[in-house]
Amino acid sequence: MSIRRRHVVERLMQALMLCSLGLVLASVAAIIGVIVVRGAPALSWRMLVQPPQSGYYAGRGSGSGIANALVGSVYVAFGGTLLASLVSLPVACALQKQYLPGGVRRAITLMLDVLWGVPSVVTGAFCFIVMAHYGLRASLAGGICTIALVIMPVMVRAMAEAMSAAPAAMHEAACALGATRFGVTVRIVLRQTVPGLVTAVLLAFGRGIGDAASLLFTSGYSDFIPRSLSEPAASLPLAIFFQLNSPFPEVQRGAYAAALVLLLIVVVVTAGARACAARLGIHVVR
Amino acid sequence: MPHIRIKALNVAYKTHIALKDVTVDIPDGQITAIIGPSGCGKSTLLKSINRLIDLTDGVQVSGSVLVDGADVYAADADLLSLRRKLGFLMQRPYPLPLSIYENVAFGTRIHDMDSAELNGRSLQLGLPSVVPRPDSRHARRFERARLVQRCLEMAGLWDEVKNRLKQSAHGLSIGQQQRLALARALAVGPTTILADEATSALDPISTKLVEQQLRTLKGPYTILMVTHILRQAKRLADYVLFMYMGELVEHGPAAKMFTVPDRAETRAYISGEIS
Repeated sequence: MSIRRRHVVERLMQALMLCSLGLVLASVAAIIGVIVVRGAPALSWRMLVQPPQSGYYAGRGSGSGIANALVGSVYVAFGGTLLASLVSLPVACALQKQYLPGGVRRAITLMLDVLWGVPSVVTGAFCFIVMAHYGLRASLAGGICTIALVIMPVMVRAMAEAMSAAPAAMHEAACALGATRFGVTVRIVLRQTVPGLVTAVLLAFGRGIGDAASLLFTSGYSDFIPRSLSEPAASLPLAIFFQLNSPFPEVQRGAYAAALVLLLIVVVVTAGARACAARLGIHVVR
Repeated sequence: MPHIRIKALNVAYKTHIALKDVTVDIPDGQITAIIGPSGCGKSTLLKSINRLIDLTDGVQVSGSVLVDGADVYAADADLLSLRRKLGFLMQRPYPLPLSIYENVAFGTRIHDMDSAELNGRSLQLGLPSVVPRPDSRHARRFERARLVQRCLEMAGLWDEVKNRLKQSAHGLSIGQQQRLALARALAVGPTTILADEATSALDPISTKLVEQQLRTLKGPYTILMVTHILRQAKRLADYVLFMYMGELVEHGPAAKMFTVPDRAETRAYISGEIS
């Protein structure tokens, strides 16, 4: 290839990369733009602190509060993420090569990937069947467990990937001092991978707080703020879904306001978690 | 009896034979250098002493390595206390993701050393005796701090880090990191230091510093180092093992090995005909 041609190919590839980047950024900007432009005018403090007065389909003006969905979503997403983290961290540790042979690890990884591909409505239906079997009603607890199940595969995978990226030499260094496998994992690998673990949790949290389908049967929907784990709970994604289905334009605008609130929660949680990770990860060896 | 005796040691990685029937006693209190061309099994020999080769997939070992009379490959071998006796310096030092202080204290924490043990270790490293106090968190903290300082001094690093013990170890230069690894190893009370090309990633000044520390440590410590730099072996070694293609070809005092070796391969390597 002549020098000139190599330059042309180089430029072409660069242009292609920039095009893809532009396309992705434009789509994201468009989605966020629509949510902000349509949602911001409808957003009010009253809406955030008031439950709906007369149902979503018909609730208009001052009556269309989303406090029930906001609180429900925060409960479900944080509860589900906490529950999933408690399960995922040990599983991710077990998926390290020090603990399980390669074949078993690959099989489990494959299963998790398949589980990740299952539509969340199916997971929701599965949880609903289990709940129905034990005679449980749609409840906050059901929603938390369902969301934990939905986001667990991606959390485990992201955590395991982060942990396996810890340098093998660091492992050796700790082992050479007489540390046990478990000691190395807990005292060294987890510390080294704090940023990756936080990313895994955030990834799962984002998925969890945005999921509507799995909650339809399991946490149900309610116009009231749940006061216990056994009460049904509303959620923002379902509120958005119901409001968008309404024939009234002002109710539809409420859906965009709810989406904006959802977006802001994710932004705040992400920024907070990143700041924490930066503090926890000051000793991470790069 | 020497601290380390290797008997009929064979190591294979899957189908590749890395060590063939190696038998040797490592002289105590001296610096022993393992020399030989790349891929001849130097590092494998070193890592089979503290069983770090166990971390490699598909490795098979036969024969025995006796550390203070106990076979490290025995079924009931206590690997954790064994590794405590064998400080290890890697080719490229890896600080643990902790502060400088905690890097050195790491070993004392994983072995859950109480204040009497920490005090005993400080005594071994030449600190004056203090009136022993009953074991408590406070006493441990006090003894640990003394020990950490002593280890950093012995590794020749204290003056450079004494004002930033709480900072991350990854902020140190690579030469400082290697001396930190030495301090880390000294804290848990080894009798032997295994150094796997410990200066190959270092600049000349850091290399000189690490060599200096190794020289001052020999005597109370047995030092076994792998090096592919012949001049370094000549500078430091009291005893030399020459390996070639997985076999221990010849071993003997450095003065003899570098002047009148018995075997033709050794002569060829030392004269630079093979490398």
